[in-house]
Amino acid sequence: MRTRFSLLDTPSPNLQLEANLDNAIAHYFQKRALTLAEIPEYQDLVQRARKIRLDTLNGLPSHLKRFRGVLEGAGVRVIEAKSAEEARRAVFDIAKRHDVKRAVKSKSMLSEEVCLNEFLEESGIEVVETDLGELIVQLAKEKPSHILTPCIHKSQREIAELFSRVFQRDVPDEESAIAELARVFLREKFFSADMGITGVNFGVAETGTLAFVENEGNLRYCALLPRVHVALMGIERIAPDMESLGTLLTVLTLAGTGQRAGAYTTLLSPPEFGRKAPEQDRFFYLILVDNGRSGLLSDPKRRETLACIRCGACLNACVVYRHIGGHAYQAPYMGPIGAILMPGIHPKGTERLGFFSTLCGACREICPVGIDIPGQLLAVREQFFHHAARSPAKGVRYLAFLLASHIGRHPRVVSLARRLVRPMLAIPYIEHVLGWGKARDLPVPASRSFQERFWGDHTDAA
Amino acid sequence: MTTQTLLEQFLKQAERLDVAVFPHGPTPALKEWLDKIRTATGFQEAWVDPAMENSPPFLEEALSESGFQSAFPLEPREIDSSPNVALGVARADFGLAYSGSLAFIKTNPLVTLVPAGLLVVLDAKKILPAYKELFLELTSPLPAILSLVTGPSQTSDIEKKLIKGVHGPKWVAILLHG
Amino acid sequence: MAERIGFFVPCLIDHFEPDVAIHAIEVLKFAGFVVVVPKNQTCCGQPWFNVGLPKLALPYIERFVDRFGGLELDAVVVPSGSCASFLAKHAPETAKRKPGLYKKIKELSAKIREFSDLAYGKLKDVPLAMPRPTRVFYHNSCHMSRELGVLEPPLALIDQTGGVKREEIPLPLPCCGFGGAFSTLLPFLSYRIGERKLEEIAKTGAEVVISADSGCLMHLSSIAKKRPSNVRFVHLASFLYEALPKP
Repeated sequence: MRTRFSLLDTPSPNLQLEANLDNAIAHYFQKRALTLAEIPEYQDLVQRARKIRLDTLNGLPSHLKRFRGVLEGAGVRVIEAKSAEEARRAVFDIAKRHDVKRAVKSKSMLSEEVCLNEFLEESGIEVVETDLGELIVQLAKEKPSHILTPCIHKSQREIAELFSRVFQRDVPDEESAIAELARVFLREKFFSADMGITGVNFGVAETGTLAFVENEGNLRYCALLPRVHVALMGIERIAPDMESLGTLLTVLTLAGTGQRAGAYTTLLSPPEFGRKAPEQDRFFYLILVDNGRSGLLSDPKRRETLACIRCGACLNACVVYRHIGGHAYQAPYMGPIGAILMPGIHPKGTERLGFFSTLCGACREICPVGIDIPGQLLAVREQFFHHAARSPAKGVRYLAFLLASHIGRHPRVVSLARRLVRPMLAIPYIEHVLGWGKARDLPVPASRSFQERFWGDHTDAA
Repeated sequence: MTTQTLLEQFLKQAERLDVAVFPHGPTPALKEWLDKIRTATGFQEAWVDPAMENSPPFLEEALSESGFQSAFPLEPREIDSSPNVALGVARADFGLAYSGSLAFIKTNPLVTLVPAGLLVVLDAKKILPAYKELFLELTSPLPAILSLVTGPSQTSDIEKKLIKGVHGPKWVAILLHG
Repeated sequence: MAERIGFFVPCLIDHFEPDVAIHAIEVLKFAGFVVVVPKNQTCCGQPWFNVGLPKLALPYIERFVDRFGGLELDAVVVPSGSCASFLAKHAPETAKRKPGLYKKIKELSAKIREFSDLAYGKLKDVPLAMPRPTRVFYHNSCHMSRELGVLEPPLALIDQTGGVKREEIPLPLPCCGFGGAFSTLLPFLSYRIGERKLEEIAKTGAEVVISADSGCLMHLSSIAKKRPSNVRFVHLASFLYEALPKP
């Protein structure tokens, strides 16, 4: 069990990372403000979207049943994956069955969650990320650091240097040159791939429709060109009907990028899913992934976390994320949503993420489906201490807070403690011993408290 | 909402998206746009969507005048591994006033994706308010693919700077009639 | 008849900045309130609630009920946004863990008023003035604005004060990085966030940072003391005390 908090807590901040994040996030807020200024009804939309998501989660089993019924009725191959292992295995089996040598992939956080790329590559299948940001992190042998902008931690110059090294040519420090190189490189991959792997933004229970949103066009290539299309979908990503789909698509792009719509919205419906049936050599598979979601769903206090539609806005709003970036979370999902989702679907070693927040509430304010992220963080923190006795790191923290709570309960004990602490602060280097003071000038307690001054020193008299 | 209001809203969004709008007919502006794509790409090939009924005669003339050679697209797997297509021409079934999106139901999606430029014929009377109204227009069973195109292909992955024409068309224009 | 209000003293003010409480009471008295200060108050319990140990907050809620219940108060004033938000928004839910406590705290919770919010109602037409021209920056407490919805009153009070120019940050990093338990578990990160907030504030040229949250103030000033800076950190109550019309 990893409970080290100090991992990202270092006296020397990463200034380059801070600058890269600042720059990108400032752009995001500008664009968002411009768009939302003309949509006065935005908050009503958020409330509608929230209701849709919460209602859907409350009745998820029946929505899923309907969804599967429509798909299977149309002869679509739906595979249920209970775990990450089952999901990886399912994709691999499909790849083997269809003799796949090369797969092109659009951005899918779910595929990161189930560690798909590593598994397929170890099995000898070439996997090419085709979203520009994902391609950049793949070439850099890194992980995405943002749900929507995977390479947000990198500056343009760093990317140009990376491309120069990987493609062994002089790539100028210009965004258009980098993008053009990626375009030419990927186009060849699109047309030669045997399989396309995509995520799914929403699945519509009423019609079996799958909705995909993107800006580059790479997802369309992945879904439509290769012989085989495999779509990975989390079981919670259901929209009951087409009308609610419309609302969710609207808030998704407004919150995610400040766009009224993504450049490409693709709705594939059964039985063909954009592939001309009944040709026998074109295949579509849908993999419905649970991987711990049922557990969250069955906990009424934590269910709300599954309402997330992966817009990434809470990352941009989070003061902690903006200082440490996504990699510090050491988890496929990062930022406030990562801090509440990871401990829900994969508690081992991720409960500490609940403390990566000042509880400032900016995440709740920006969430397009109004998830009470601070409330969920508190639930994660409770979960952290739930088995405190089993882990020394947790136990020590629990005892410290327990001791503090006993001292704080009694006004006299607090006053005594204050009097004891005051002279101790004069001890040289004491601040290095006390964690809080390592980076600060420790505040000095008053010689007499307000209550002592107000009532005289004998506060227990009344 | 009246047709006129919807049209105005649509045009406003189209302008924001940097989508050119031309009247339905041979105009110098259209020629200029076609010439720009022809020159910028250096390619001659234009794909005209086979589902586009009654392709207007002036368009064929304009294409050949700007030096394009039009061809119908083949099935995807028969497409050359690196097709150098300058222009795609298709008819949109609907426009959306809220977002300036163009909705395609029967069009081969590769026509609106592979070329560097996209020219779309749109009937001004077919502009709907938003997603909700669009989805109500669809009949069961839903089309195998409903494709919405909202402006040029783009990314903001590098320092959130807007780059156009990543995998899809860099230039989008509309021929508006009715 | 004058309103009778109970005065809750946040523990950071009680033990670190007792003057702030004195100033707050003077301001409230000037505003025409009858101020009652119950004896033997403790912390509100928020630290334990926020760290994920809500059960450890229960004795504090009980004491709060014990000290403030039955005093026939029109309101309970809290001169710290974060404590006020805990007592008003989270204490009742937390109290449900102890039979009988919810009902008692619920009634008191409804009476909780953040200091500036309460003071503004009475002071909005008072000619406030600083003795000399001052450039100030108001640091907004996240809990106070987002949970309690109190954003305008402190700004309005500062803006109506003669001789004061209020500076703003164009695209503010909203949170100062304190976060209570957060600052003890991730002290350097918490420091860094605060340091950058101070850099932003320094760019505005403000000489005085005002806040209505004792946690944010202590955090920011403890960081500022490590670096060369002439910025003063002042609780809104002390600022208003200084700006009250002199008799």
